Amino acid sequence: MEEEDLFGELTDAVVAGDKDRCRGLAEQALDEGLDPYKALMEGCAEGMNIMSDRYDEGEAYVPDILLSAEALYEAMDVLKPHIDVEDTGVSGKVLLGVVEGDIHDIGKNVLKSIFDAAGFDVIDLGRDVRPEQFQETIEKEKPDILGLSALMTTSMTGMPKIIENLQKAGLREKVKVMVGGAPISEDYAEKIGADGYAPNAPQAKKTAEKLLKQKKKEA
Amino acid sequence: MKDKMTSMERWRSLVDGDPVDRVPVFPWAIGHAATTMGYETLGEYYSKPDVQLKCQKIEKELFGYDQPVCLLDPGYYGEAWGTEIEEPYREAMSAPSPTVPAASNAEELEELEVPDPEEDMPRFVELVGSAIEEDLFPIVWIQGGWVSHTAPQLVELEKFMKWTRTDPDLCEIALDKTAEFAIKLAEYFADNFGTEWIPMDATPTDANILIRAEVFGDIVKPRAKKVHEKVLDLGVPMWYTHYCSDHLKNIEAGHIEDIPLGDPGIIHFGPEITIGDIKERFGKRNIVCGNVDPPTLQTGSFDEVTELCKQNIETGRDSSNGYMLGAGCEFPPRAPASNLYAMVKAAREYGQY
Ligand code: B12
Repeated sequence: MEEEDLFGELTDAVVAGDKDRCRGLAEQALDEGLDPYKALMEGCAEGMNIMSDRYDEGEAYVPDILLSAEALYEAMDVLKPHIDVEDTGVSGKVLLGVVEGDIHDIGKNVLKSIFDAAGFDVIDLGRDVRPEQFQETIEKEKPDILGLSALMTTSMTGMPKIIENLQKAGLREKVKVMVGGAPISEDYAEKIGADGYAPNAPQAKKTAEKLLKQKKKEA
Repeated sequence: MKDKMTSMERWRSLVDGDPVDRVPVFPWAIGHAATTMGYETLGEYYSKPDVQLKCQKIEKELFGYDQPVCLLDPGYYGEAWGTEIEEPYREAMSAPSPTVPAASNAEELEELEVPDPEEDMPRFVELVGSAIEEDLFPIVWIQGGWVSHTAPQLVELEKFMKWTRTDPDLCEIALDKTAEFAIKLAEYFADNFGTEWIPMDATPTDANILIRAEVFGDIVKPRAKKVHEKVLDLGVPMWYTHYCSDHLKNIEAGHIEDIPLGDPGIIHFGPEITIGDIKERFGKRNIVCGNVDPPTLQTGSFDEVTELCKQNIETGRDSSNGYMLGAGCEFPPRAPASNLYAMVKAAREYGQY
């Protein structure tokens, strides 16, 4: 199959949430000697981008995005071991988590799949994450970006505490912090001293890329 | 402005369709009652029936709102099925949280037996029993047949979401089980304590932010409808349903109207839909409640909250079957007390009839 056609089929398989087809196509891409990184980005990631745009426009729903993400991971499973990190161009490490007291993790999971698809190295601490856990992981893993998610007015107040802790520990300059979730706004992000905010997954990806560039410039 | 009716008189009049002196206030303050009473966490409140009841009674008296006690199962509707529940003993928690679901696959789901209220929910039975005995005319959270209280109470939510596309039959099995459970629970309360209580349900995971209106119509609506009908048949006065989050597509598809709330029944949407729109669509059938947005209640000033309440009251007050001022969801447990008072004060000032 032509490279373009196969990547197109991968995109369709992710959009359809068809994990068996995704695995098959990923294997086929390897068999045919196609670039696995390109297969991931131009095939799978494109599918995930389409889905998160559709969700944003009210055309796709949570079950659809979850199944697409599952299909994406199936292909990633096949392709990733063959991808040379050097080839990827993006070399960003993102630490994600939902703040303590908050178990709303669907949005964060969507974000994770978009970031994974975009080639970021993602560490996911899950939901209901205590501030110390964020801090310890930052010390150990040295991510470029910390992505904090909160879906409730009650839990979003945990965000400034995490940022404060980072400051106290002398880690604030080492990591860019972006925040999001339904009750979060640009204003709130600014108020609590975060570096970035995004209302949805497609924009979150752009924000992360922007922050990464900034960070590299500063270094 | 001084009140002419007591809270209970106002609440009963509203429900009976009689005139009230002013717009009633139903902030849906539950966890907030624990913080008012000085508890640092919501753990004792949610896990101990006597604490839940006492906190609510006192907070109601203190603020003068009209919401009767509003009772939730200390096992959070999951424990009875075998789901592990973490009670909110950590300060950051705002509600109990299901951790390990009772069913993680089809076999486990099929084997689940519908719990027995007396045996499997003794704390809830005690709670509801004492409130009815004390003539508190409580709101009792009874829920089943909807996605909410099926996922994550029985099955993990993401799994359930995926099943809606891959294995809808499993979703239907799960929904049938919780529907049966809700009916059984309501029957138990009616048989043992009478019908002076109002069943309530809240539906965040049925919202169109998660699922298509078609899915809601196909697999959820028939069950929700059955539960509502059967429970109304027991003789309780009406249902109180909180359509949490964005249900606009469910409304447009006509699904919401098909689920009976009784006469008149209380309908409560989140801030995603304005009181004006709700009044227009549902005011002729239902009592309308809502819907000051929770973020403002949490972080806004007294004056901002007052202004929002005023706008809501001015729009809602002449709704045909009555209107009560409410929050867009639960009144946030750690919102400033002054913002709760702002709701009551606004009703006294701008809501006189
Ligand atoms: C699903 C849901 C639940 C599920 C969650 C299951 C799960 N595993 O996630 C369940 C039923 C368990 C639940 C429970 C509760 N919920 Co709830 N829930 C929702 C609901 C309906 C949808 C959330 C969702 O999944 N959206 C879909 C995803 C895809 O979107 P998203 O999360 O917004 O994420 C996108 C963006 O925000 C952004 N984003 C998200 N995170 C981040 C992070 C970064 C860094 C960036 C850049 C971007 C970003 O990108 C994402 C993708 O596009 C919301 C309603 C709403 N308006 O959000 C209420 C809502 C969040 N819940 C609410 C409440 C009150 C509760 C409960 C307290 C109810 C109760 N009394 O029991 C409990 C508390 C649970 C807890 N301790 O956390 C309230 C919160 C109100 C408030 N105080 O602010 C809401 C807003 C409902 C309402 N109308 O009031 N809930």
